Amino acid sequence: MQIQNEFIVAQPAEPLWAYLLDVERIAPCMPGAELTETVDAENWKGKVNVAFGPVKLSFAGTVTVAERDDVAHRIKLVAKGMEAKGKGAATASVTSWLEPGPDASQTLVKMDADITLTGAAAQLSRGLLPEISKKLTQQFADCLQESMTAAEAGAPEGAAAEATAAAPAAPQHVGGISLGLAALWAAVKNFFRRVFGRKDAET
Amino acid sequence: MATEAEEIRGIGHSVKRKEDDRFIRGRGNYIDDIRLPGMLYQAILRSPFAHAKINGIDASRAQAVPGVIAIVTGDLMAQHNLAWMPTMSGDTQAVLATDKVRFQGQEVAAVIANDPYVAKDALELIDVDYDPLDVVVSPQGAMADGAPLIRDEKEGQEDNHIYHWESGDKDATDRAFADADVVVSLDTHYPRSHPSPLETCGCIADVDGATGQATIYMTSQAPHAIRTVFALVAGLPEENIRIVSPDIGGGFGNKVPVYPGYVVATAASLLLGHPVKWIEERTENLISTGFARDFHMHGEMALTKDGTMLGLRTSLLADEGAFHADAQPSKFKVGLFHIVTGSYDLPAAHVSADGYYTNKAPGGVAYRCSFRVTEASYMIERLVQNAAYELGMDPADLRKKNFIEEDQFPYESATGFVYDSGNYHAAMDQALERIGYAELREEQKQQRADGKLWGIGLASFTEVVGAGPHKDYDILGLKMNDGAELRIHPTGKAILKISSKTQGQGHETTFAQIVAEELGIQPEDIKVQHGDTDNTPYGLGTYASRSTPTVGAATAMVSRRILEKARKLAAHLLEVDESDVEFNRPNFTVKGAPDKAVTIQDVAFAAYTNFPDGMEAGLEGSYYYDPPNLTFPFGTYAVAVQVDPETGEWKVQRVVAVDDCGVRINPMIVEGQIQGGLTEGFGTAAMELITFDEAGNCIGANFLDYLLPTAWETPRFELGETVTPSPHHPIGAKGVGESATVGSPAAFVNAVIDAVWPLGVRNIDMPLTSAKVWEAIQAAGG
Repeated sequence: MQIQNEFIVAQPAEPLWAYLLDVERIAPCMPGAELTETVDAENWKGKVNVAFGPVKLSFAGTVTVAERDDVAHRIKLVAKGMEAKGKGAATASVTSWLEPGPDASQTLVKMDADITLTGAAAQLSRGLLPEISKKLTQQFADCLQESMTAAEAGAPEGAAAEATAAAPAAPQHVGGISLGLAALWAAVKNFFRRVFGRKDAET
Repeated sequence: MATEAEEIRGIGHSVKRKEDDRFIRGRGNYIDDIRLPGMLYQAILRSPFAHAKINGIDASRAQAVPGVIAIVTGDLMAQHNLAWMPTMSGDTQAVLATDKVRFQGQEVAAVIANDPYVAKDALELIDVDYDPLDVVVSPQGAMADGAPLIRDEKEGQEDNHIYHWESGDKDATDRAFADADVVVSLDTHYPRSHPSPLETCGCIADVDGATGQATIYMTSQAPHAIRTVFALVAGLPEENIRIVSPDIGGGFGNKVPVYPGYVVATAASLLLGHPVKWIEERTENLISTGFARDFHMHGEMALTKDGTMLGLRTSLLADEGAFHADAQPSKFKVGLFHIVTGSYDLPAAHVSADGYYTNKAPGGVAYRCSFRVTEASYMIERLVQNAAYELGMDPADLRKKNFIEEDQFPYESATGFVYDSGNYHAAMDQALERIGYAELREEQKQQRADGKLWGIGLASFTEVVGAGPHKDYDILGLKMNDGAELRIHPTGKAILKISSKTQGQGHETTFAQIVAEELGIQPEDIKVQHGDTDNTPYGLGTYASRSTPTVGAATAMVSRRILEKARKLAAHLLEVDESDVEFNRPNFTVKGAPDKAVTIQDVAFAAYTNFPDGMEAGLEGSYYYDPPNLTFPFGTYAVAVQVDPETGEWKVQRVVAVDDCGVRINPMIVEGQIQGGLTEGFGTAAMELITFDEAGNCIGANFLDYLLPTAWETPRFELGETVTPSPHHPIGAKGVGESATVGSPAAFVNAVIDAVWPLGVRNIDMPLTSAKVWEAIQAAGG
């Protein structure tokens, strides 16, 4: 399944790029993610907890840098995980790159994900997954902005670590019922837009 | 005494359904309504993977949950020789996986607990160590070099091929094609769909260790066949097995097979000494129980340039899923696909088919059809329309030119069926007139000139139902002959016990009307019992529109058998010779003296109170009916649609359905069946799809993804009828349950294809979602 997302960060490209590559620093901003081991500069081990309504999924696996281009600000990560309770597996190939934002102080982050899910997560309505992904991306973007702003506001040394420490230390199952309902609501709105036609969709 | 009674509401009366009283009041009695003392609850752990090796199962955490009584695994079942079970098509199917899982949703383990929610929660605590394997999701993939071997546990199975099967005269067909002026062909996929009954499957197994009595309450369309299968599979003595099918919320073929959940619940009850209830969730029903269709079809028709059909050739690829578990008469690998010559006088035909294993759910059932009739009917009706366009003829004219004529019946088809009766022109003419075919074609020209896409589609289907004659039809060796038992009580009321099992078809009303027709007892005075194997005669159940052709016939025949004795009793009461007694329901009268009469009620009372010396008391009998032939309902459906060239969206403007199912016992119930069947046919054509991604995930595992037509989408249907009785059925009826599901998909698709044919579109595989129609228009350069 292909999912595209994008978000804007109020930072120039260079510092943002450096920040994004600091996996240990941004991991707490990834909803439901937990970095369990840094194997080397290009390989990590971690866990991702996602709850979709009553279905809780906990993936454990690896993340590897497949391609990296610091000039073009482009990186491709490949993640593979198995669900801890035998509910399935997930692989994701995510290409992210930076583009100039609407004004000079902003940067547009674009992500292109190719996700293969097996098991319970895959059986949940496909129509909802792009919605969930969009919401998770926005949570990540908000957290990133906050974290970078905090890092800038404080002392160059140590403050970033504080900002990181301020982020939730023990990752919870992200979302739960509220995420499921929000995604469902978005899907229901889309459905009614389709049914009632373009006129209502604009309202 | 002669009674000037009200009219007997026998055949032809739209009697309100007796069963609806309890359903409307919410007083139906479904499996989940039944609660037995000490009952435990079963939940099933299913595979998230389509194909994976099982390295081990650790159930210790689940076992420790308070309320959990037992965990059942494949290893435990294997200790009782129940890890595998036979299927209806002579294959084997895993009850609980031991070696590996072969489709997503396959049964891996079961939790038995004292509460259904505890059972469900404990499933999450069972740790299964899987090793995912490569996945096959199509027959094309299954036959590819290097495809993983799905059934590696089967001795001698070296690839994923299950069977090759042929029927018809190949040489004659080849000659017909050599002589042809025109050959048209069609490649299309009849997609996998699901019967989706409102009530999912379930059971309560109650095995009494002290008496050995096994009572199994089950959502089964065929309780007697299930009893025998349980006796053979589980080695239980058949006299100790009682299958009870209470009210069933729809079956459509989905409730014919034996599913692993039933077997596990029975084994668990046997081992634990408690009743065990298992109720399937919606997703479980959609991903693991009997799907339908999934047939890749290639068809070719040979014609002369004046439009005379010479021959038909089809080759088929069947996607059977991980276990070959088709519900079908054993003689035919592809069921009744022979009906592919349809309503046409086709001198030569040849059919070949190959079945393959894939990593998809097993158990292809005949979803509201006789096995593979729906696919056959779809193929011929699509081909005929394409042939008409190639020849520059109107599709209605090409059909009429090649119809089997009324005087050709009984007609032997090129594939060996003997059609009982038909009048295809009458049904077609009525449909064309009702929809205003000629005017619509004129209007279509205008609309096309204005750049609008209008389409008119026809389907003139012939069906084959009522399996069947004992020489040709059996399931696992069991002949498909069904029984009826009728007892007339002293007060003139009656109980009719039948082997069929209603799931909404209205048997409690229809079969009472047959007795009413034959014996003059009003239908409301006749109780119809079904679904309990201890209290009904043997038979193979209700599916494939077979209840009226088999059990309906048995009911008429047992009534006639009882009438013979009733005449003797009447003669005794009237003090005349039996040959002087006439029956004019509900009265027996004396020839030449019509004032002298007794009623059937008087006769029934006499059977217990005042019968002649030497006569046995009572007024009852039983009959097992062996149909001399199948029955062949038919009809013409006409559909008009409008297609939006910008979005691919299509809207149905008109649907006219003219059905001929022979004699209609209860016209209201027949029309209800046709309305329902048309709705399901529309769903198949427009939206229903169980598909799989490349990882073998089932897409269509819930009702957000698997779309069913609701009242919102369903068009209005205009019904018409012709009546051509079956000459060999005691009351001339042919069966109607599946006609509309079988006949209508081709009419909807033909209408859409008719609209977009001028743009160059030649085929769109069902379901015809607007996205697919739009893509086809784009691909054709429209």
